[in-house]
Amino acid sequence: MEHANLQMLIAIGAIGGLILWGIGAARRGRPIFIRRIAGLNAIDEAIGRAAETGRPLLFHPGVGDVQAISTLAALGVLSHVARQAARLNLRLLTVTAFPVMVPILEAVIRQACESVGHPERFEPSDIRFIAAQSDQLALATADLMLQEQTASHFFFGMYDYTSLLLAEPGQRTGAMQIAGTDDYFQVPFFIASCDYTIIGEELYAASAYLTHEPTMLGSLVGQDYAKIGLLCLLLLSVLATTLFGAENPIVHALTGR
Amino acid sequence: MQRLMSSLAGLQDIDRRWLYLGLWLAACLPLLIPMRLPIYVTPETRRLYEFIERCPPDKVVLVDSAWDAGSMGENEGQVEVVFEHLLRRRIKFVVISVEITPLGPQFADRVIERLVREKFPDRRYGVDWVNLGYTRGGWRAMQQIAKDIRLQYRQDTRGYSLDDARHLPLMQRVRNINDIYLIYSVTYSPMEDWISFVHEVYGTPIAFGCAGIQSTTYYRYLLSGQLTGMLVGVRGAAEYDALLHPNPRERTSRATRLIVPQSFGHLMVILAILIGNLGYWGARGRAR
Amino acid sequence: MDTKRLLIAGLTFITGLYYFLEFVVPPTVPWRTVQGTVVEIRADSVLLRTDGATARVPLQPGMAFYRQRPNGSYERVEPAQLTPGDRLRAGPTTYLSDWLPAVNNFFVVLMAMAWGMGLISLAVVHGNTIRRRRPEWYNSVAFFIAVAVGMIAGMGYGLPGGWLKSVNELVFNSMLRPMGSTVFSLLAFHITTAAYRAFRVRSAEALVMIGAALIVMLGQIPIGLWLTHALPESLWLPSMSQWLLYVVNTAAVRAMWFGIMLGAIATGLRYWLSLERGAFFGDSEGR
Repeated sequence: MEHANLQMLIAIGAIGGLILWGIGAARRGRPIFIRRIAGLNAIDEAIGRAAETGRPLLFHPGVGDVQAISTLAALGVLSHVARQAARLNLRLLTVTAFPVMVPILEAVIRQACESVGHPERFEPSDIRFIAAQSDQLALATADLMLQEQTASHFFFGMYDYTSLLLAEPGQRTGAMQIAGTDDYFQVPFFIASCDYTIIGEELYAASAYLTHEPTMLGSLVGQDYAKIGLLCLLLLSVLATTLFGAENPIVHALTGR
Repeated sequence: MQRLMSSLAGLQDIDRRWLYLGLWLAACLPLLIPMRLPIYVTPETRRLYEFIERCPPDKVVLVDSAWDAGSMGENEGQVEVVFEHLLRRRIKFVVISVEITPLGPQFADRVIERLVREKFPDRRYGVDWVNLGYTRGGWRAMQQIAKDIRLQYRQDTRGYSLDDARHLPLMQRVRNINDIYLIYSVTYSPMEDWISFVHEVYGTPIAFGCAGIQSTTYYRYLLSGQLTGMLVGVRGAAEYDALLHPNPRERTSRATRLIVPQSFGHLMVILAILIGNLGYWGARGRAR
Repeated sequence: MDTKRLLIAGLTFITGLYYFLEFVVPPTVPWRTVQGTVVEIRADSVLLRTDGATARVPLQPGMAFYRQRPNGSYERVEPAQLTPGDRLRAGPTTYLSDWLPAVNNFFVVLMAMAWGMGLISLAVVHGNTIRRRRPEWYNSVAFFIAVAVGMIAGMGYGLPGGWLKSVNELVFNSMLRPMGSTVFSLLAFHITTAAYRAFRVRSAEALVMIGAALIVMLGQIPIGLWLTHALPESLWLPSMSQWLLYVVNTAAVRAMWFGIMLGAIATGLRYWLSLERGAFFGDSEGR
């Protein structure tokens, strides 16, 4: 579809509207419940473990650049980890395969340090652009884990086959590892090698969950309503197709084809 | 009994280097001792083969060959068998490489040049195929290629202008998506943007060649008809080779050679799982 | 909100707005668009047959012509490309789609610049290491040598022969290919140890998972067929594996993707409208 048809316009309006309505309602103070996500609770435990040993933390924001939605979601988690690290005076090593990510990572971590009142704990040399390709980054990161004796590893964002090249060596160092990705096919690797894995859209909810910021929570609520709406339409078209065959007026009305 | 359980429990903590050695042997031995195994052709492979068989003479196939040494093990065989099919049937094709790796075009060239040298010496660059090279831009590049290929590419990898009718006669009849019969994207994890930005807009059939592990997420497109076919890992390429050469002795592709070591590798992983579980049961029995 | 943040928010909004409008606004002004079959092409106009009547579309700047493809979608054409019988939609352009190639080119160039930035950034880091004689500074020297050799080798690609071509062959065939493949093949070893360690039958669910994994793993290789070829076809391991992949797996993937895509829309919307909080767009106090 090159341009939106009527159905698409309605869908965009409805989904966007529900999300904006959710955000508006939450900002006006509507109480919002969010279920417990074990992997996200474990982030503080992993930071605590590093604090006990005094060893650094390692954050890998995936192999996507800043245009990837999962990278944006990972920045939310990074912000939380950086804040806790600054509070406990822990070193936080961050690596990336994208030079354009370096200033963004710097901004996130600097802001996190400032927000807990410790701007002096921001260390630019701990943000490292090591290699321009994901496999080289994975090898270099595995090396960094050994060199720096990192205590906890966070893998959040978009991943490719290098997920296992990171998580397996990390597992062998005995570090606590938490991963979060929306890449369906890398999830099994992370589950096998990490202590906790955050799957799919839980990653997008991570920022909201960690910050309890009304805008983010409200957006989640809007998303859920949109999902319920889509499910209803899905059921309706499945029912119509089952009863009347693939070419039926309900499916035509829904798709506009 | 207790002693048996104890010795079984020991299987839980095998040094990983023994497993590495086991895998290495499993993968190497079949390369030293040649053997053949029966091939089951899956529907996703057959669909691609049959679709290419039906290609009309005035259309070309666009191959997005965006892999390099990293995923060569799986992707090389996937382009090799399809290139062989295209060259054999004299279906013209244009090679591009979108976004993923700048080394893509060179790896594709290597495969085509070997095929031409060994099997089809009368096929000519510029007439039977053209390699336009690497481009960045993701879905934007795809959009441009579909609208007008010259918006995205001015010259090919050899430096000839796309309008140079003497060196690239093939490109004189390739303008935009209307001239393209099929887009075949081969890489570790092909970009679904081909489906959303090209198939959904222009209806051009799309096929993927992907790593085995990535395939799970693409089956849904086969079911919905948004993908015309798919070659899954080494297996898919070996199946395609079997369709190309019904006589097993004529199968010489890389995939056919690799499917045997891969099979033994899978068996080694299964064995590792079984050993791990035996150890786990042993440890549990001992604890009781 | 300070100026920098305002600028980022404004730019983000405008760029997003272009792509949004390009998608939702039709390429020609809807109430002045005529649709029909081409009857005749004249020097100054095109005659269309629309529901029995004939409409004249003048050939003047600002008019856009979209011809229907066999699959029902429309493509932009010049009047000279039209032939009688074409299904046509013509009207004053809304300009948004006309700018698409230019806007796309801008972003393609911008993305390509990231590569240059990468090189500069690496050069600065390694240059500093050498200048300050930091530990292992000789590795940084190796970096510059590798970049130079890589650039020379790159120039050899596409040449028919000569020393540049030889350097290209050496770097490409003898270095990049084996090294890249080696890194990827490490995966096989990691997968074996990960499977050995993690795949334990601790519960009924784990048993189901291992059962499915064994069927798919054996079904993917010829040995699966060889083991079960004596059984009816529906009990062959490849057939069972296909069923798991096409039916069970697809259901799970589709369910996950619904959530992921909605999440992506929500995140995209928050960034577009600069509503994002918590990361680098400011925290709840709007700092």
